[in-house]
Amino acid sequence: MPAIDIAMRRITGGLALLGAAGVILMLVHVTAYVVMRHFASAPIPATIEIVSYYYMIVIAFLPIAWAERRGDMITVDVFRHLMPQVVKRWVDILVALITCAAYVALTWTTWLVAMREFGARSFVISLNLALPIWPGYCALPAAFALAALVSLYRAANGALGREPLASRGGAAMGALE
Amino acid sequence: MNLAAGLVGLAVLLLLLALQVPVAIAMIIVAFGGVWIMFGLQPAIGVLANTPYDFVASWTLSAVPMFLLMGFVAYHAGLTAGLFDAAKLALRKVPGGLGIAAIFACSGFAAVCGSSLATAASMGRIAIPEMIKAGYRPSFATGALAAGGTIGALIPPSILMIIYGVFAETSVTQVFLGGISVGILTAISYTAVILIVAAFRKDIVPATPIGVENLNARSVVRAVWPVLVLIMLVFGGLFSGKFTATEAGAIGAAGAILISIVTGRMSWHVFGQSVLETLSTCASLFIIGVGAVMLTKFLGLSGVAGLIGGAVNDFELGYFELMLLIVVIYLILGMFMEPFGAMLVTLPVLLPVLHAQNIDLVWFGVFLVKLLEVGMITPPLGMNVFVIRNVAGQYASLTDIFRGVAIFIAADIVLIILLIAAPELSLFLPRLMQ
Repeated sequence: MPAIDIAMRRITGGLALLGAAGVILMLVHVTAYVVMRHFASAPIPATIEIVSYYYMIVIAFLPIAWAERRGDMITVDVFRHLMPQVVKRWVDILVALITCAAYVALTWTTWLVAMREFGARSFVISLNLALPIWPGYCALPAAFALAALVSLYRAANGALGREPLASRGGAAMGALE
Repeated sequence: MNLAAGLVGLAVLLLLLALQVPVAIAMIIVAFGGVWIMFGLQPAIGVLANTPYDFVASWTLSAVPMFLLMGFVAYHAGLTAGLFDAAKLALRKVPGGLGIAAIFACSGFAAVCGSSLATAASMGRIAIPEMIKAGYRPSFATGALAAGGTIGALIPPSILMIIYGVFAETSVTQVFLGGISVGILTAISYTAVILIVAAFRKDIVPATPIGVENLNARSVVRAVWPVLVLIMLVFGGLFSGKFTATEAGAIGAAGAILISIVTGRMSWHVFGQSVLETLSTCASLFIIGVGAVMLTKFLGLSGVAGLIGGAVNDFELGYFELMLLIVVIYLILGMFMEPFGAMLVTLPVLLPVLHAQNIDLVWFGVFLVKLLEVGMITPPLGMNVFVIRNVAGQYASLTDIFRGVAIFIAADIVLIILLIAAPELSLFLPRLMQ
């Protein structure tokens, strides 16, 4: 089991690092775009498209499994305090399974879209540049599949009475608001 | 049949939320299951398949990570520490000056940060110990900072307002402009509270002047001016139409990083922490947006959205009755939910009603954020109060802070009534700049 634990942490963390790279690239790219436009009158071509179809996808979806593992997802916590310990454990398992089911559905449906876009090698035209956008679609099923695995693993851990991967409430400051 | 499915769907949504299913997942499941039952599997797949990509691949929404990064850098690097000193110097002769300085500093921090939690935490950490040392009653000092934090999400940048703008398909810049007025009005109302308490209750707010002997005007100005220039650059660019929201956010984040490096406040730890918190917030936030778009489609298809809109008509709810209803709903939701969940779960139901009643969506966005921010300081789940408890737990218990914040909530209610009665208060700037 610990081996799975380590693998989960590495894979989710790796995807999150790609997401972090997306944040930094977006910052550098957009800043350069603004500076070039105002001072050199030569804006970087297709910036809006690259931000929307690449950076945003990478930032929003690749870290989902990582956020799920850390317990960063936003929930309504009021009634939890009212539940007895035993009930809490079963509710946690149920919630993990429901979450897993939703991610499986998302994986499947976004996979269908990704195959369609890949098949068509979809692209957008920005001025005289053809920018392929199908790779972005392929990121979604991969990210959701990993998130499904993380939730399934949490359910299994709960059922086996093991400590969950991440305790709830470990959310980062900004994730709360 | 469809209407029944829609209403059952809403009930299931509430049940899932109560079970602590993540807000996003609950909305996705209800939308998928609901459309499946009503129209079959293919349409349900259709709802799920395209929404995540279509919602996220958006230039407007890309302002969120950039403004988040700007705020987290300012927070972790302590960029705005000088603001409180500057406000103290300016207000040294005013009764209750120290408390008012803290509110001013919150407002200044709000201009670089879109989160009320970060505002409460960063200013609370600096101001509360000084206020208590000066003789302020701890419950009042902590309450003032918990409330002051809410200005963080009112004065732009505001992450709540960007998400609202994207969702309601209205101009983020316009909502930001409205946010400036309501943010300033909030700061004024909190200042009034402190002045009144200082006048009548010397046991809560002491009359002793602020000790500013160790502050030198020149060094204070030197500490504050880079941030002020950054704020002017970001907002000047945004409101003059030279920058889009995303561009303003990127310039703001790059500027904040640059200032941190030049002033020696930047480290790899600060940078890494800021990027990771940006990422964690984006990951948990955008998926809720995706869920809310799906829920909107489901409620629209089932006819529930129309039903609720019709009910508002049938009961002949006027503007004031409708607003009273909305205020009550959000004050109750705010007690139990964090603002993003509360906003995105309710907008799918509410937006059609607002459209039908011809309510200005820019005004409503600002108003909604104000309501949600009151939820940040009301018990039992008042996130800002929890944050203040974390940074100043040695001075006051949770109950003390909730007690101290009560008078500021009263001020908020007065302001909310004013906003309803005179929408021009928040629409003045957006109209002026149009």
